[in-house]
Amino acid sequence: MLKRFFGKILALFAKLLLALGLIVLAGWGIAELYYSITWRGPVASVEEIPPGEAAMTQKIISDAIFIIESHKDNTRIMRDAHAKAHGCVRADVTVREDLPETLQQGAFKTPGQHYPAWVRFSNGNAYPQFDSARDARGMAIKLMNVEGKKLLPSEADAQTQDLVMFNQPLFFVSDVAEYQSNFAAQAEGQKIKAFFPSWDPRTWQFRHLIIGLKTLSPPPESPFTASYFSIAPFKYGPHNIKYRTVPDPERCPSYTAPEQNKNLPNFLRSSLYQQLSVDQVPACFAIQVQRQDPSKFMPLEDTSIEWLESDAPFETIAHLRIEAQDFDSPEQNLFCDNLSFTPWHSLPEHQPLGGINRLRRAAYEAVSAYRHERNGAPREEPTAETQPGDGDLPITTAP
Amino acid sequence: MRLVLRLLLLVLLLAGTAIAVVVHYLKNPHVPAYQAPEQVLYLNQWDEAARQLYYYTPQGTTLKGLRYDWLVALEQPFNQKRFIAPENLGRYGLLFDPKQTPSDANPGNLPVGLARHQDADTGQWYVDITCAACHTGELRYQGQAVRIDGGAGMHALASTVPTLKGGSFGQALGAAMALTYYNPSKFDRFADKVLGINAKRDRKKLRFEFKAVLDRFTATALNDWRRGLYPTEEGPGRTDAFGRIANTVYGDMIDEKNYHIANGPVNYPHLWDIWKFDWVQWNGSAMQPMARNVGEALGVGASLTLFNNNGQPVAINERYASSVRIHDMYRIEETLKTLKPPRWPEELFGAINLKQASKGRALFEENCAYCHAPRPQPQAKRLAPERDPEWKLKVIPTRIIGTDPTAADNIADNRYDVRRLGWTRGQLAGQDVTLVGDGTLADVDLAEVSSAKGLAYLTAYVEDRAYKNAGIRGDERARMDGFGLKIGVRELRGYKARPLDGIWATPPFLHNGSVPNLFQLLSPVAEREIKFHIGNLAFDPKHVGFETQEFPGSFLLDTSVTGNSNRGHEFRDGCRQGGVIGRYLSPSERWALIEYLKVLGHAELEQQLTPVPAKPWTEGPSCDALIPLVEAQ
Repeated sequence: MLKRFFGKILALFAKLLLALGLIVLAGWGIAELYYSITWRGPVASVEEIPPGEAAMTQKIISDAIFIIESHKDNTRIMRDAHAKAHGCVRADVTVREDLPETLQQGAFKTPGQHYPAWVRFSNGNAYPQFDSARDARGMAIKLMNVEGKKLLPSEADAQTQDLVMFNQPLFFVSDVAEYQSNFAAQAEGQKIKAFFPSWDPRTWQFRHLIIGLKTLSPPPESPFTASYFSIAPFKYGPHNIKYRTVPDPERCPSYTAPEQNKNLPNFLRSSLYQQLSVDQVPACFAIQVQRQDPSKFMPLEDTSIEWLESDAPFETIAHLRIEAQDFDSPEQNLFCDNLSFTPWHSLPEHQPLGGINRLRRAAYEAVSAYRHERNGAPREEPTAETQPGDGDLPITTAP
Repeated sequence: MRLVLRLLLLVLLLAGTAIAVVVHYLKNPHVPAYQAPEQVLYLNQWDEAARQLYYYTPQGTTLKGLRYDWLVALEQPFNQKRFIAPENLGRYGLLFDPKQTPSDANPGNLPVGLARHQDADTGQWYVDITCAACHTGELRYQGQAVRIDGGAGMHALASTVPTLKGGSFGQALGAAMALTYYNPSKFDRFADKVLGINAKRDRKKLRFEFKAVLDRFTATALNDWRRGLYPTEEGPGRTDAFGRIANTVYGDMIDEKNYHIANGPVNYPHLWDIWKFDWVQWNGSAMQPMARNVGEALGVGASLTLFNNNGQPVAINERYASSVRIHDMYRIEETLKTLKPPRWPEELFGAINLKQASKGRALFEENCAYCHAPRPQPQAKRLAPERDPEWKLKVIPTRIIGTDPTAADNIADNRYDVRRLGWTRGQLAGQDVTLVGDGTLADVDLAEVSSAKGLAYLTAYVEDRAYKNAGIRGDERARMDGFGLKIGVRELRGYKARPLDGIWATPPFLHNGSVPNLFQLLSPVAEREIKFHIGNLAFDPKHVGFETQEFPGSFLLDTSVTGNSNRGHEFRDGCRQGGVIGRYLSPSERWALIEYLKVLGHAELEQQLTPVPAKPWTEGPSCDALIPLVEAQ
């Protein structure tokens, strides 16, 4: 009797499971079909600016200010994203010797040219947390001694060219409109609303939720072992590109990092310290670009779409080398925190493209200006001669 | 068959539930309970005669033709208590003084601003919503009421779109009228009161006329609801004044394709000192006092004759005849010149800390005066040389001030087809209208005229007719127009920064009432409440504004709704752009400023302040990212 009852329950359960499986399978199939039909080239090779972007940008700035105010630590206002640095290290960027002519553009027009650079490694969150927490990881490069007028009128004479990246090839929103609603929900601390903003199923963003979940990934062994992507597109002379940096172990001595204690909050910083300062081993990356082929589905205005390597390969344009060094000093850490990284610190040849990049122009400046004024810190682009400690507020030490 | 029966039962059940819900809210509308104040404190803004004149002088509007004695006789929907009882009307934010008694001007003992006028043709007395109905404020504290004459009304009088839960005066009135009409015993009592001994004889006629008014209420409600004209709920204390005037004049009166969504509700602005302003209205769009008043009256419900029953324009000598009462309007306007800003009642709200206020004055000089200080013009530079003083006010573009742009944008963007009026440029050129800023008369396209320009010309015609009918000409007309000013029109995307005398008495703040108190107004946007509750006039003398907690019948103001944005007018660090207009003010600085704002406009108190040197204006970091890249370069 009882057995039969359980048998029935079990059968019902199995049926339900099967039905659920079929629904999921069907949904997946429909999604695949839908994307294979709609995700097709050709796409525009120029920007297409949707209406209302300026108003949304202002709203995002308000929310960003709210976020940094509500996430500040007890002495400083931090960035609204990538607040925690693992360290700022000095690097050398060398333009590839045998760079094909068509890739000799902007800052990379002279093969073999060297640039001194600062590289900042970070966790993506707006508040410092344990490195073991699932998170995005960032890498920002600031090339110096880059000649030529820059895009931002107020910083036209700066000698810097920034490359700003994180360790996912795609972003969890498509455009400014979606970023605005997502960001507003996050500012209120509502994670579900971020991807399901209303009852209307047409606004639900399953795919973007999956990207978001993927973005929050376990930490790499070391910031040096991850690859970092620009996500958004840029000009590159006559081309439109996305760029990335990937580890390039062949150009560096082989190195096996000692195991880090991942229970400690800052083990990623410790791994940089171990390699560069204790073991004195340099690290190498290749900087690569992927040119847009507008006949393929490589859109400029949707950062949630990955440009497939099968559509266009990545090509190395420069080598980045981080020599062994000491970097973990109070002066340098403060200097690092006071740097402003934005893709708009850029030559016109590398002008940022697409909605998310247009948003970053205003949002990064607003957050940076706010942060620096609140922190009483000077806000100016460094030159190759700028040393940590120069111009920054003196660090008060107890007598 | 059984299925059909069951379905029928289900439908009946659902319908019954729906009716029960509707009846429930008709009986218990979502409005706060009325609490009679122990007493009403008046703040010596003017004398009692001026006050009574202001409260009950009609301006020539009607409530869809509602007769005065009908309103007085009306019962509440589900009981026999009077509709006009303070316990009922007070719930909708209309103002009573427990000591008030019937008078010649106010025989029905109605709340502030519900006046009456007699129609010259029919001899009937109509309910007349006059200026004071919306431009009189009250603050409640510890059981006392503080009356703010010329202040901001906090009722939901203007709302025409019914909501399930109720909460507006119009809906309550409509419900009371409908139940009076359809409940025979209720109507009998009503007819007895209105008709007296003639109740039997005239009952049918009364029923007919009463139904006509009820139908007009229903038609308006249906029209506005069906077209979705007012998607942003106005709630207590707000109305999309310009949008409603435009929909009434261009939509109801001229052409139904002229309806536009009005989603930029604004507060009722306070009226002291406004006769000194060079331009009035939130966006500084109007210049001549009489034209502004006529335009307002047309929106509130003055009658206007344009077309006959066949839709043809009426004869030229009858066209533009209106119920607008220019003599009364002039009297109100003149009386308002004697209105002083309210004095902070220290005996009730607490003493002013003069040391703090002195510090606040220096901060005001540093951070506020640039926009908010009155700038009296020398005679040669005035718009009206006779006006002394005349204050030149700054209109700050929404791009800079960053406050909700909906109201200003709607006025600047919406266009109306007025070709049915048969105007020609030649005729318009003869009107006393000055277009300031963009465009001349030659650019005016009568198929798509802007609301402000169209209204300027229309009010010019209405004024003409009214003055002609009253036999007023020349100097007398110029004087009644207001200092001989022309009808000026401007359509700026911005809001005027008015001097802040008595500003403490006019919460909630910003043009759209999206910030409940002064402390939040001086705080960064991140510290302002995103949603708050209003509607019971409970004053918070510490933060200077309204209490914001939920209470039974409260109206939830959600600043994320279009038209309700609480951004802008912000003092914080970072780029001075997108609504950030000044440096971060520390909380103690905000408190000091608030202390000064309690004193500002009250010379006697201001004289007691000690001089504190003002710091220079802090220029912010250089930023250019909100400017399009091409322009910036």
